[in-house]
Amino acid sequence: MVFSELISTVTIGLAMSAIFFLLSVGLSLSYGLMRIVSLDQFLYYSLGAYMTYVLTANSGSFWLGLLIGVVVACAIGWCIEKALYERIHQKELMFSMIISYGLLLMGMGAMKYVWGLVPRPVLTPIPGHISVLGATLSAYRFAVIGLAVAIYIALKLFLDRTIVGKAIRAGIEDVEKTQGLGINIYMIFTIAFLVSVSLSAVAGALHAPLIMVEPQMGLEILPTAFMIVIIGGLGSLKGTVVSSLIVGQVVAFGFRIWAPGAEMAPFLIMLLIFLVRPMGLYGSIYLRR
Amino acid sequence: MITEEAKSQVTAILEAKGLNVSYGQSRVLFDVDVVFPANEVSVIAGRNGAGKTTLLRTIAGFLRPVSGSVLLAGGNIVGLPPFRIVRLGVKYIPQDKQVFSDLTVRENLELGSYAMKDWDWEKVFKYFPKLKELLNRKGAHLSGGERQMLMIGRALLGKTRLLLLDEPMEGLAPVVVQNLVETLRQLREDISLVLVEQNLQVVRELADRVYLMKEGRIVAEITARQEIDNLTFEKEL
Repeated sequence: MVFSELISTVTIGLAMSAIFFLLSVGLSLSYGLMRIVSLDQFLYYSLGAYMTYVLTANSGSFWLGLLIGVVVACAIGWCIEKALYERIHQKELMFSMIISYGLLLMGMGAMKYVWGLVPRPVLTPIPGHISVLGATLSAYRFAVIGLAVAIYIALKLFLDRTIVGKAIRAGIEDVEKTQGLGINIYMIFTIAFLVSVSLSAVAGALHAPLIMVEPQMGLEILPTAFMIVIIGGLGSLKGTVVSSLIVGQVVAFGFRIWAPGAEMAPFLIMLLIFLVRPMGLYGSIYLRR
Repeated sequence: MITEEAKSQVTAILEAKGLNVSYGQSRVLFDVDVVFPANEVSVIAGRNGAGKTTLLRTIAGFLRPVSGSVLLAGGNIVGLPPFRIVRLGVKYIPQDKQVFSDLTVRENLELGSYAMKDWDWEKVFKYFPKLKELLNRKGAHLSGGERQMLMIGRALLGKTRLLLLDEPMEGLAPVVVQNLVETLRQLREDISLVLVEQNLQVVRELADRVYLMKEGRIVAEITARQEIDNLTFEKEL
């Protein structure tokens, strides 16, 4: 592998990590705080992608599509959280898994009905290329990486500096004790869930120009996103960042070296990490229901 | 069981009537009646599995009784979510002495202040001055005594009518226990306290009223000073 190929692969890996991070952090937050497995996050991811497709095709504005995607996903997510999750968060995980899987399938069915089975292309909003140390790279990939970094910083500031963020961190550790302080945990659940939904929709929107938008896209990325959450440690923002970086690079280099192994390699990494750290890289022993 | 005559003699801050609580098919509390008077220290004692913690958790709203009522200033609080009960002034401090390990003492206090809309920390520091020195220390790095101080201190923010403490002295060094007893003695001037406690010395020093529990039932209520001073759990339980 020549040096320019190495630079190119690392950049592609970082852009993949950025998408993986945005999608996985929502899953991690909803499990960490609400103790639900929210498979419907993949529906909001697909919805974000389809909204950018529709708005880019009709108005020419990718960024408007991203914004509308977040708003539509949040509206649907809010209804689902209030109507379903608020009633089942104290029940076994299986409840949320089955309900959210059902929602994902229903949503996919609706997308097939509205947009059909044909994969749809989305034009990149930032055309052009950048030369870095002899490698020619898509400017859009750098934008995706930059946006993910900005979102990570904003999320970190939100969790560390705001009182709602601190309540979310407290809830991730112990929901009962957070309620015991007098905090309306249901309001915190709703806020955290909407943050998760927004990030999933942004992930879908940013991913759209890099892939073809199609109804199954949520299901295709599901195993990788789950693996990232588990490797990082449930409920850990730092863990999600680190595991996204690892998996992004493993997949990018996997495709470069031996494509059939690219999808398998991250699972091998997961097994190796579990042998050393069964709770994941940054999983907390303090997590309790 | 409490007699009507006894009830009429005290101004109850909280009263539980006919509480029956089950875990699934298994009944753990049977027709429990208790009265916690204003500015008194009530102690609930009993062997492991007698239902003491269940009683406190039911009052705090974490468990829903099958039947019965919990009256706070005359209003039934059964069915309210725990955070609403806290905002009404009933604070529960569990036995495990776990604070939020990832949050600093300052952040723990901030959360209490945010929930109760009370940012006056001086009253916390009045009882627990050491917390002022520990503001930037994470919960994970506090000793058992410091964690207990933080939990009680946090509970003092906002309106606090009744503090439910589940085995607050358990696992603490004797000197820390003595300090905590002194602090609780001062606290009772302002708020009512309910302690689940096994330490006889602590019970004798603090209790104005003792409820003895056995197999999910209140088997005795002791209010006479001399009886409390001569209490021996071996005989009663």
